[in-house]
Amino acid sequence: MRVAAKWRALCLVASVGLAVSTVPRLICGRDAGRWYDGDLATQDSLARGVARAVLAHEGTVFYRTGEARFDGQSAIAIYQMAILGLGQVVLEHPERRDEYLPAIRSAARRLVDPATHRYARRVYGRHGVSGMGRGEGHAYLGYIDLALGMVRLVDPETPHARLHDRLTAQLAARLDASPRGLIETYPGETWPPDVAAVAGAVGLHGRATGADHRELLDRWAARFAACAVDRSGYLVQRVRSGTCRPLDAPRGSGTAVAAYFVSFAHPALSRRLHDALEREGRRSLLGFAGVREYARGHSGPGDVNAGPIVLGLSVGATGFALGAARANGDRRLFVELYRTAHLFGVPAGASGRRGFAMGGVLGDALLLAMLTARAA
Amino acid sequence: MTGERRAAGPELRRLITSVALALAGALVSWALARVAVAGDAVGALLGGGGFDPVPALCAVAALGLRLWLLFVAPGVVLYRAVMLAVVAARARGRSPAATGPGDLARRRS
Repeated sequence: MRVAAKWRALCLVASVGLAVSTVPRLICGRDAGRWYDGDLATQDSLARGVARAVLAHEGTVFYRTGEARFDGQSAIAIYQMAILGLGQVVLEHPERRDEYLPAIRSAARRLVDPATHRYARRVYGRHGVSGMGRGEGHAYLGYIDLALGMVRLVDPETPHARLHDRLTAQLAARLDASPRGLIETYPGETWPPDVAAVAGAVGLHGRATGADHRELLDRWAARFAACAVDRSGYLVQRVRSGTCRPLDAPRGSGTAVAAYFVSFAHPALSRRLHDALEREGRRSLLGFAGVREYARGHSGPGDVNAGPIVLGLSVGATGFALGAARANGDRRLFVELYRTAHLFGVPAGASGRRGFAMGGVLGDALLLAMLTARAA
Repeated sequence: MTGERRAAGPELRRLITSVALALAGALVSWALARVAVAGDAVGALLGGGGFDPVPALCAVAALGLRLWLLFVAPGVVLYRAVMLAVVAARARGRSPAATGPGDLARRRS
């Protein structure tokens, strides 16, 4: 009555193989199509959690690691991505405006508070929201200004409209004056992905107000790409200020987030960056995809931008590439990346709020913005 | 029929055990993930007003269980189900009580 050992082994291998190639992709990808198609209930499930987390939070920063730069930047990222994500949901489903506007307004109020990013105030002597001196880059303002553009799109009566106009005018002038299309984020530090946020802010200002920045953005895109886009198509993460000399490798996390930011300003450049992610960075297995952090011929460790790197694929590049894929109409890549985010993010509901166990508030806000990115 | 049951019994128990383990794992993973989401695992790890390792540990444990549930458990359940079917089929073939209409026809001829 006993089945021969070799048949048992064969059966075990076949069963595991069949199950591994079908079950994980089915379970992890069951919401992917709904996210891509902009299904309201699916977007609401995460958006409600993000809105609630923003409204429930007291104070300006979320994390107190002892590093002012990280604490400030992470708070800026949470508020910016929450505004972008919730705003994108409202733009796709205007009937949700009343529900999400309080969270958007709350996030905007704290986003423009200089106390949120004390590091910027310390290194420049004053926060860019208060004013910018000649020759100062303040490219971190791109994150704030981009979010203000979204606020203005969904809340035209916002009290931040004048600040939005002023910041955009100052940042646009800096972009246009730069022969390389690059400005500093902090003194002595030039990060092209941050500059992409600045360009995205200028583009979104045009959409929100009707101002025509297209010629400026065309000039900027040509200079920026010539200086900061590597032969691989990846964006160089950091360059020496005032030059195009790389100080870091071409990186997937910077390329992917730049492709998303630039989708608000220059669709052709966004497409070019997305195509590089698809061509050079994508790695697929069993219906799951990840994106290489370092372009071919480069290597390095994970950091605050990339997050953990496993087998050359980074959490940051993979997560941000979701936004690049949706903005550029790449359904196949989006679905494969979503399966990976679902697998490792561990989504769950708790206290009426749905989120990703491995992401926290920051991860939830980032994913909401990426999963609801609008067409470039 | 009794011989069949006796032969398939161990395989049936193994199948039920593997299904029960998978279901229990799913329940525990879901509960751990809820704790992690409610506590903000990342915030707890980075320090959002005092270090609390519980949400972070829950998130990591939930992920580990999830990987087992998705990549190992379904294969094991399928394997147990196939084994049960094979053993039951063999038992039917050898048991006089399980003789089918085809066998009766052959005997008559």
